[in-house]
Amino acid sequence: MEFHPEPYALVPAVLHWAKAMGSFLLIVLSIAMLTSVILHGNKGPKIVISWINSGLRDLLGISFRRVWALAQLTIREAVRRKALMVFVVFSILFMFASWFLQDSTLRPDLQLKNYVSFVFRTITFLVLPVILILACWGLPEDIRLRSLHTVVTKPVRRSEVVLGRMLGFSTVGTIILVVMGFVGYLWVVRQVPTMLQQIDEVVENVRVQSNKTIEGVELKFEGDTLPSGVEAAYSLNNISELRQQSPAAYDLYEKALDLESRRVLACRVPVYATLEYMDREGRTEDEEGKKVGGISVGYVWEHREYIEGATKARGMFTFRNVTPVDRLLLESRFEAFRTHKGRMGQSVLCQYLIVNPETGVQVELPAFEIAEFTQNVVTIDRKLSYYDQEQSKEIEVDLFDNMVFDDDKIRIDVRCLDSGQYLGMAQSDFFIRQPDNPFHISFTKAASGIWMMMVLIIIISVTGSCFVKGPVAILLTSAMVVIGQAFREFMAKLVSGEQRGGGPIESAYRLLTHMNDTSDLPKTTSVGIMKWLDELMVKDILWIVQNIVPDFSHFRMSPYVAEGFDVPWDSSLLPALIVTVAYMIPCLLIGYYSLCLRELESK
Amino acid sequence: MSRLTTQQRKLIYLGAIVVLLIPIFLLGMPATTEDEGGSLAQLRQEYDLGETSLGDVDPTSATMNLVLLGMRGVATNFLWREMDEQKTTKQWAQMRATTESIIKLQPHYLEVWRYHGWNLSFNVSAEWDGVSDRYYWVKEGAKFTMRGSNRNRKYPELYWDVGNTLGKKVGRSDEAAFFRKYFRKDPNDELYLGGPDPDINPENKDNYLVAKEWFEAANSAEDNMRQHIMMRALFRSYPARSQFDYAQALQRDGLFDEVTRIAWKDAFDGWTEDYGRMEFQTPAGPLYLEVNDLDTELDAIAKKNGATKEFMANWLSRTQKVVNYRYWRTRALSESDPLTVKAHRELFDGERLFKEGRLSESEATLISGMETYEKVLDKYQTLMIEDLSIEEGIFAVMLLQKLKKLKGEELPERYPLKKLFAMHQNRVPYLQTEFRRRFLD
Repeated sequence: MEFHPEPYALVPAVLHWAKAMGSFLLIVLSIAMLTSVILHGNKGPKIVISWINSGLRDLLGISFRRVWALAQLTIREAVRRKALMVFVVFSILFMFASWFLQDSTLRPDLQLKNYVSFVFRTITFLVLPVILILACWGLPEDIRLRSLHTVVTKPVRRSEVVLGRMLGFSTVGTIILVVMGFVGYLWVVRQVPTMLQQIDEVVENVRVQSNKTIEGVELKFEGDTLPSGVEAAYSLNNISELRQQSPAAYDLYEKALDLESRRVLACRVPVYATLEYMDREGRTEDEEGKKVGGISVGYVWEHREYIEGATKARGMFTFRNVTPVDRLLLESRFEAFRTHKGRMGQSVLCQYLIVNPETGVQVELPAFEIAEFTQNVVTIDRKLSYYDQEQSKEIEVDLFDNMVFDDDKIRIDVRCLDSGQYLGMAQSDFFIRQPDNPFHISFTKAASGIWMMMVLIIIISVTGSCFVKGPVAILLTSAMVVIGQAFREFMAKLVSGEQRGGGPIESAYRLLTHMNDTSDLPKTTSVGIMKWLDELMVKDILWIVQNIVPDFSHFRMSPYVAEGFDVPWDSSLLPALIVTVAYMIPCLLIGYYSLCLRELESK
Repeated sequence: MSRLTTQQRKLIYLGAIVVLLIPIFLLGMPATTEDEGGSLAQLRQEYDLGETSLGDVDPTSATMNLVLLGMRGVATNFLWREMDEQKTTKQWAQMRATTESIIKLQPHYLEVWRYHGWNLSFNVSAEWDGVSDRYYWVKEGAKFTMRGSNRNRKYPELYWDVGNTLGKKVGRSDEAAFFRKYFRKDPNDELYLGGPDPDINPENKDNYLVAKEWFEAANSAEDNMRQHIMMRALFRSYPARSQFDYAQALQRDGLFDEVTRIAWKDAFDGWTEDYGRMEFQTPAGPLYLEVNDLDTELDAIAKKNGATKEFMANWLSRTQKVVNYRYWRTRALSESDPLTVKAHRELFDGERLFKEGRLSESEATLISGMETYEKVLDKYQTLMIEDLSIEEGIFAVMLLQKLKKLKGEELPERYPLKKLFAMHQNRVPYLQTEFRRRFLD
């Protein structure tokens, strides 16, 4: 998966939203004024202003008691419409899923990815369509059956009707999601292969049982068998003391750390760095002063850039805000690219170097063979040493006292040691691993992604159902979901002109004339008109569509769980939350005014 | 406006449905033990298109295809795109799962099985750096194609693909030395307890012998259904060629004993008695390749086919050349000769002793090996013009030259294999490079 460790740019996003929202309100106001002037003459603007006033009064005077009462009504309605039957399908799927998903020969970490994908996919595919149909059908059906008459005759505002619907459907959806999420979690945990569960148990076991303690280091020994694990406080004194007092226990500590890091049901908390490159000549900038990048080895997926082995080329990872600890756990998932067979049976060699650019001190860590598509874990002690050529002696340095520069930065360079081989890396490929969170944390966060997506779909559905009938609202919302989910990238390419083949008319022309997308079009007037029309449709109309349709990719958090990572707040949860809230405000306004204008007696 | 009431209209619709169902029943009625069933059932029977007659039935796959109705194509298209995207972005586990979904929807598409089997064994495995990881994906591809052959028992291509993966990919790739070892002792010790993966090697045999069994299965399937991979004479030769590969692999491993000799003997028998007696269709009529008597035997075949003897001889020669029949015949015959075994062993030992730095012993063994090899070439003249035999002889001479140089001596005027070395001087520059690489000169 391609992770985006960059934090979400909140301020520009809010400003963009404010601009879009302002433009939208301005357009709506202009149209309303114009229509009103045409229909009512001079009184028109006054009518519009009174509408705005009443709208503001309505929205500001919302009673949450009444909203909740309407929400309860919606919940009862949903239950009556057998929305909970979705549990039957869900249970059937989960009862038999392992028959088709289990593969005893597949690597456990790879297998876990399939399990997690299955759980989240099933929940998404079951919950969202049900909720979408319910939410789109709710209001129009009430209008058709005239049951809304009994509601609107009560002292209840239209804005409360809209909010009540949204809240009611969200509550139903939340209940379904919580139950499914819980069952899904238990199912995933149960499916993890026994061997890895045992590892978990070992590590877990050690944490709760101990019969000997060395200043915060807990050990458990059982007869003549190997001690089952150890938990050590992250304190240098304790570790050094442990190493001196009991080398066997120290080995055990190392083993426990290793087991811990290889745990499949993990929720890693990474600290990412910024990545810069040094080329084979050791330069960080080219002749024009531009920063050099890595090398492309020709893969279509340009996620990783490569550095050449046995040259001065390096990937320079700079970590910020690093807090002092006794041991730093570094994890990487680099990729090798071979230009010759090399040493068969041995993976490409990689080496870390801790560099302090201010003092010029460079500490080389032991080289290691990379394991691809899985984690390479390296731990470094706080006390490090390097051989100084000038002084001809080994010099000891402290990782945090001597190697930190600019107050809080640590630079770790990565280089490939094999001549003719390349090492591929991306920013998200290398990170400091902080103590893991429990697996259920990342699982819950990813489930909250589905929840926010569900809420957004409910908001759009209810808004749609305020001004169109049920089937049309379903079509409208489904179209937005499908476009927002599957075609956003394509749309962006079309708008930016990256997509070959031109706009809709040019594409049709090429299809009909069997012309491929690399051939130039003839330079005729009709082609000019065709291009102008395409430009209008793609650049202007599609641009608007692109900015109206929500980006549903923000809600996809399951890959984090599948890859064993915690779902980050700033680059994943926050954008999802912002998108949901950003749509809620205009949708509420549209829904409210649509319902005010709608003739509720009509069928 | 219709003058019919709603009820009348409904009755008419019902009647129309019943009328339309009659031909469907007649056409699609399933076959029973007493009755042959409808026309569709009969056609299915005639062309062996029923799920059960195609191979093992996968209930999930059949159900999915039924449930999707006409949407199968759309779903398949979507899955293929997804699979391709996952492959591009190196999400191997997800790609593997998507492949499974595709095959559930297209369980009887030969090319789909072949494509994915190849993709896993050759493309995905190459993306991994660790040799054991690569082997894992080679196995995945082989197992996948095996499942394909179980579900589609009539296609000879799928059996051949399994044989090809287990033979060529395991035995001849860059990682062959590791793969061949892993084939007998899987790197996943925890799961296979130091033995082979029983799914691909249940009897713990050499990879070429297992491949041979799959090629034999391919030939059996080919008896009933035409294959579309290559010329038939080549396709049918694979079991015997696998036996050659096995015997050669033993030699590469430095085994020059009775086991290797017997392996070559079996290869000779398989080549001349089984494969050599198979009939292949040519424009001159059907003929087999093990024709040694070009007078009476060929004459009889020509007469039987109603062709001239020259025309027949021409087609015999062309077909034999396509599969290199005469060379392999001679090679197998010579290799099963104890004299050849001795020559190979001595040349191999000479090289080994040289690498160990025991130069005098190496020289003595090498010269003895070269003398024996010369006798072999005298006995089997065809080998004098065959690449592998020439290379082995020239390498021996080059090693002798190097030995003499190291000892500060001149190459004598007369030495064994001089005739072969002189005869193929044009090959020496290329082989020199190879020789330097081999001995890190």
